[in-house]
Amino acid sequence: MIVLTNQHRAKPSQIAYGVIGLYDSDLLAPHRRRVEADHRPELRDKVSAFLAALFTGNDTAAFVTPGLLNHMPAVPKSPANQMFSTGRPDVTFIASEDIKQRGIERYSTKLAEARYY
Amino acid sequence: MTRTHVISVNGIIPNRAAGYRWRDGALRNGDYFGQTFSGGADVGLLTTASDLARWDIALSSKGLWQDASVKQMWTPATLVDGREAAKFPAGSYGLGWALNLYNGYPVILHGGSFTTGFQFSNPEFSRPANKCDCAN
Repeated sequence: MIVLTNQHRAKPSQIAYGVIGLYDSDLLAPHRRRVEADHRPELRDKVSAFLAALFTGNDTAAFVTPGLLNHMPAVPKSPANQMFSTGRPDVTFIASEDIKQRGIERYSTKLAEARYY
Repeated sequence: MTRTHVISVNGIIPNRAAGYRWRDGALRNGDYFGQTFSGGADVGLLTTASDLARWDIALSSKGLWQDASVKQMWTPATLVDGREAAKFPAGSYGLGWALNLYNGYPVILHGGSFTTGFQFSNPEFSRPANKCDCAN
């Protein structure tokens, strides 16, 4: 997908991902997917807790794989990072997908499922 | 790729697009830069979507590059201490290509923007050829 724009506020990446979803349903933008029932709400809570820890500069080791943890930079604790100081961010489940057969490895871990929030 | 050039600020190039920006509530011409900046490596190509499509097709085809070169470009680069060159949440970075996942599929991409008003996005998805719904 190639998008060229000549207006500085254009968002060519959003255009690219929006258009590709019109041609390939597997690449439909996550927010346009059909909403499914969340059979694993504990993972939604884990994502929320992870985001809160990440953006407040707290330890994220309990939420991610060792490989991803090694890939993450240290986030300093500072007022600028207190986005969620009043609590955990709201995270809404959209859908999930079994991707074991795709053979994708990410940060030394084989991916089994994609979950969209 | 006959319509791809290093930018010439003064050259007459048929159908050259102009760049625009919103400023002070109005659409205005993009910022002006002379040849030194406009011809730089990171912003200095003038091209068309169809020429870039030829480039993308050539990248994915046999013959232009050795397989080992493409694999190296599209493999996360690592530092001498073994860590990946890019940090979360940026995904990974190969040689001139961002390497990420989208909807559970690998995607290689690059984009860019300049205050002259031009922006660009070029995600390429690694997908089985028979998965495209192009006939719909």
